[in-house]
Amino acid sequence: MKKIFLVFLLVSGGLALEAAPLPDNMYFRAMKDEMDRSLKELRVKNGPKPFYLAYQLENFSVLCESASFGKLDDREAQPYQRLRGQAVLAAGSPQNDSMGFTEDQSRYAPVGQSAVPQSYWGIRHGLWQLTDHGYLNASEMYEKKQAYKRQKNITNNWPDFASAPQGSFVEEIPPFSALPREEMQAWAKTLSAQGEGVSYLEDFSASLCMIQRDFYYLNSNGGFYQYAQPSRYVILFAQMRNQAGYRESLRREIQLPQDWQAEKQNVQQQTAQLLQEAAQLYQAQKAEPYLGPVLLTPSAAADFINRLLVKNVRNVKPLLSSQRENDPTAGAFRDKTGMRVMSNVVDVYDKPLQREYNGVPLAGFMPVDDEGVQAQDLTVVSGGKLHQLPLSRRSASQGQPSNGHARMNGYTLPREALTNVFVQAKAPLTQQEMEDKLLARCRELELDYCYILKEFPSGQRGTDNVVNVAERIYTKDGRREPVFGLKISELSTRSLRDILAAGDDARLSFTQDPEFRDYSLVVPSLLVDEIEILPSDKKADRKPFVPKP
Amino acid sequence: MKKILLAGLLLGGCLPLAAQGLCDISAQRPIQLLETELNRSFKTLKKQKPSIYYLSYTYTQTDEQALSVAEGGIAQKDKQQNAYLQVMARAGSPKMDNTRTLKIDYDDFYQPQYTMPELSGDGKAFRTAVWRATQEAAERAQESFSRVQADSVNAAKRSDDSNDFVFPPKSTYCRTEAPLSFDLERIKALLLKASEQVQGSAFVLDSSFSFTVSQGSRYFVDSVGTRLKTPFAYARLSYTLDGQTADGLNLTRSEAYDVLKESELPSEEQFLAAVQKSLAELQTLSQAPEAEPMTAPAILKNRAMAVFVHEVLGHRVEGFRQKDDAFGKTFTDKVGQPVVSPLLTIVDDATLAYFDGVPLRGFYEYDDEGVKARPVTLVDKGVLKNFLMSSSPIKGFPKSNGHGRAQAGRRPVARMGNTRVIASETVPYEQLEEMLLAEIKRQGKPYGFIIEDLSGGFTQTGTYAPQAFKLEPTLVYRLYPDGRKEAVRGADMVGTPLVSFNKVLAAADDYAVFNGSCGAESGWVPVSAIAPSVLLEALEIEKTYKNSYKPPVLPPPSADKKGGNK
Repeated sequence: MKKIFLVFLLVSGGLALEAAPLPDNMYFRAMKDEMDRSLKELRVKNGPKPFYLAYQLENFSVLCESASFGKLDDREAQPYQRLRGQAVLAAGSPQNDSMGFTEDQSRYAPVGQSAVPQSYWGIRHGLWQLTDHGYLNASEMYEKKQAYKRQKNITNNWPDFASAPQGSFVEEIPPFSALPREEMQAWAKTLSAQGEGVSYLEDFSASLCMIQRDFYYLNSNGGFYQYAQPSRYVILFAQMRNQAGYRESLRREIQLPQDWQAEKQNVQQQTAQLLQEAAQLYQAQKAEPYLGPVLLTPSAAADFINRLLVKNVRNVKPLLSSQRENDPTAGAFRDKTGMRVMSNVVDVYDKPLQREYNGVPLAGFMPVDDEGVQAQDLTVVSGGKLHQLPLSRRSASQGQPSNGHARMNGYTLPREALTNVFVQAKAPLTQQEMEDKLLARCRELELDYCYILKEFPSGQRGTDNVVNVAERIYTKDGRREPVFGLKISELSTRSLRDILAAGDDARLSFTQDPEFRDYSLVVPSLLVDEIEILPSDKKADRKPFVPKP
Repeated sequence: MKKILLAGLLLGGCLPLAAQGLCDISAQRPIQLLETELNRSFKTLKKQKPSIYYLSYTYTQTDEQALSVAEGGIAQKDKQQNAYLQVMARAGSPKMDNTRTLKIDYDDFYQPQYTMPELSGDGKAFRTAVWRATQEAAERAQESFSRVQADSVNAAKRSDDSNDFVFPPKSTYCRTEAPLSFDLERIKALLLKASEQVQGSAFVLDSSFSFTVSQGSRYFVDSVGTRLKTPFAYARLSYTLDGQTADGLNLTRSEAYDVLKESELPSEEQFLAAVQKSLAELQTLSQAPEAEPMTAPAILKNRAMAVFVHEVLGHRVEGFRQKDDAFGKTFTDKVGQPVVSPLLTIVDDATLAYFDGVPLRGFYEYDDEGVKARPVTLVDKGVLKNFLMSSSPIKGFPKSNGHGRAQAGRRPVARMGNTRVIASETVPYEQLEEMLLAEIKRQGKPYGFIIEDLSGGFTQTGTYAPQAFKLEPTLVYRLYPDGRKEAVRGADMVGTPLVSFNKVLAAADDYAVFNGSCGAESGWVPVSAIAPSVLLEALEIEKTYKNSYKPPVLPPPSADKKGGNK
């Protein structure tokens, strides 16, 4: 039986008025004992003393099976498991501390360790190394930050690290239970076998992954959490050279609900759909320059929202840095509360406490944030105006308290970010209505055709701006024509205000921000009034020397 | 002085692998599928412009296990099986092909490896994956060859204009081996026990106890007609203890046992005693005085000497370093000339599977270019005779001698296998220490050195840097004229190859094996080196790099462990 303790405590200045039961297990015993020792004894001569310490342990388990053209990859690993540890240490005082300052803005991350031994002493040893290293680093940052603030004449009106009521969330951690191995293998084989016999496909593979991340968190103000975050997904991948000789690939990630059996048919259908798109891509025409309305399908719309909204509503408190005056990681909307940032055909909400969507576990689920504050639901955009920002204990410069949106991972110390983002149409249209509206707008602009994008460049590091799956839809007769090799030109936040309509087909996608924090996005198809499309610069490849076997 | 015959050593200490587990190469399913695809592709590829004039496939099936323990808990426990393919396509002609180093591109040895689908059924998925990899390799080779052609227009005259490739002889060989088998539960219990043994010692800042097994089979098919299947196996029980002094010097004590059978593992008593010894050494080192730069006579203990030979001489006799003008070519023109003390003969013999009961990691039957391994006498009584050769010929050495080696994902070049140092005259080790004392007194030095253990080192072979080496001893003693020994910390060995090797005055009869992994242009490959302890007339010691960060403020938590796990 699953036991859940959901206790949100009222704590003043980080001091608990009522004690919630700290889980009695090896992880919390080790964290507590090492935290107590460190805060009591960790000092360097003439250095600032540590006043805040937080530990996060993550027990990561994964099992994947993959197959290509109906045959398993000859690669087998037993479930991979690692215990990872992270420490956040602040030195000085809450009014004036060592955090929020960096010399290199690409590096504002907690100290971490990837293979902590699974024993009480092993965990304490790992945490000791992280704490000691974190303290020496914090001492140095504290001195540098004070020197920088003196040099720039910066004074604090608000504390660097505000006190906040601390919360806790404790849930019994279930053992990692992947599907039976044989079943995963059989499914991967069945899905990938659908690509067999398709002459132009150079590869067609299916990977099935089961992941569980068990989180254990404790901070020195009394906040803590313990819960498991499961995730199950299928990745389909098709690789080909299309008729024009261009090397193209299609990738689809399908999140699975806990009751994955019920989803088998849907996955099968999506596999068939991907193969259909591959067939279209094989025969597709190369794109030509275009400027006009574009209909984004839910998947493309999610990337659009991530790139233009989610990334700009993050890291609300800019970092101080001696290297650069402006913090490039800070979201562009951080000081635009009350301003119009989006079309009023949709509202945007953030729901960190929502655990599932149609049975699929959400990637942004966060009952208590990484500063120990209970996470709150936010109305991010309402009536087109930016309404609420994610806030942390460090973004209290306007006197606003944290709303429990400090998120950290291995690449960033706790900073403000959204979690599970829901874009809701005020007057949702059916798919047919959306297409009709697109065509009507195209006719109004006297265009021969306009575009439906089925994917959108995510703008993530390491990816180019090329869209593989798109269609032209002709104004004259509604005829559709597959197109490949598009890139989006000069996209700006202006496009958010150009949304003309939203569909009734909201779909769940997962994404990450540049700091690799995970988000869930539930977004319907969106009609955007103007996006500029250019043909990509990619050149055709030669035909294979030898035909496929 | 005691004389040992070379033949005696070969028969007494080393075991070449007897022919066992031989199989029928034509019945091997991977060979059948690879051959089908190679024949089909090569027919077309050789007619392309530029021509793909040589094609080979290496298909490797691996089975790996890793167990790592610290502080009484498991940090890592992995088991995985993989099968991957590497394709070598050569575009152009043997005279000049795509593998030639460009003027401005020093280190392009990357070669992709592809995870393969299972072989069962009609093999179509497997063959499709081979076809895909072949297409990509051929395209890459042609692109690289175009760059080589363009580069050669404006390249200075090469001092060695040998061909880029010599076709390897056609070979057929097939051998299988029973999988290694170990009692992993017993080993886990041993590692956990050992890891708890170091708790309570504040000077041990980190520790790790591990057991790894890597085994599998390699299948090789090429356009010359070579068809091979060879097994490989490595297993290692090891530990590392780390410390740091207040002035920032990192200290390490470690031990590794390479084994191929359960019976070759140390007993629990032996293993725990070794950990205790290392613990005592680490404590001694943490309180030891720091070494001062100086030149003095020294003994290089056997395993330290093995590393010394590998780094200082071994890398400099790798064939490709004699060809490329980017290298210092220390020994290129010295064939037939004395290069080391006449006391020493140096042979690289990858065909040896064991030495004195210790499995050799540098053992292999065929190299990564499909050429049969064979012993190569590099130095005979001090005189340079040979180089280690891959299929890239050099002036005076037109053929491979079976030393083309690479890590998966890299293109092979000439590398070492089992490098053996054989002394024509030896003395018991105790006598070597007496000789060191006499040498210290003769030179009027305040003390000499005994280099007990080395963790590794590096050697500069490029012309852009001095032709020097630096080795990192982990345990060094000063030996005073009155016979007193004192551990010192922070001593590095430095020198240049032509001088250092001529300083060998005597050797002991205590041959030992250093098993390790060697990293160079073609990646990490398992190697062994075997050597006796030697007396050097002079060895230069300099201070080691120190960490500029403070050591930990608090002692490790388990330093005050009073009993029981919580």
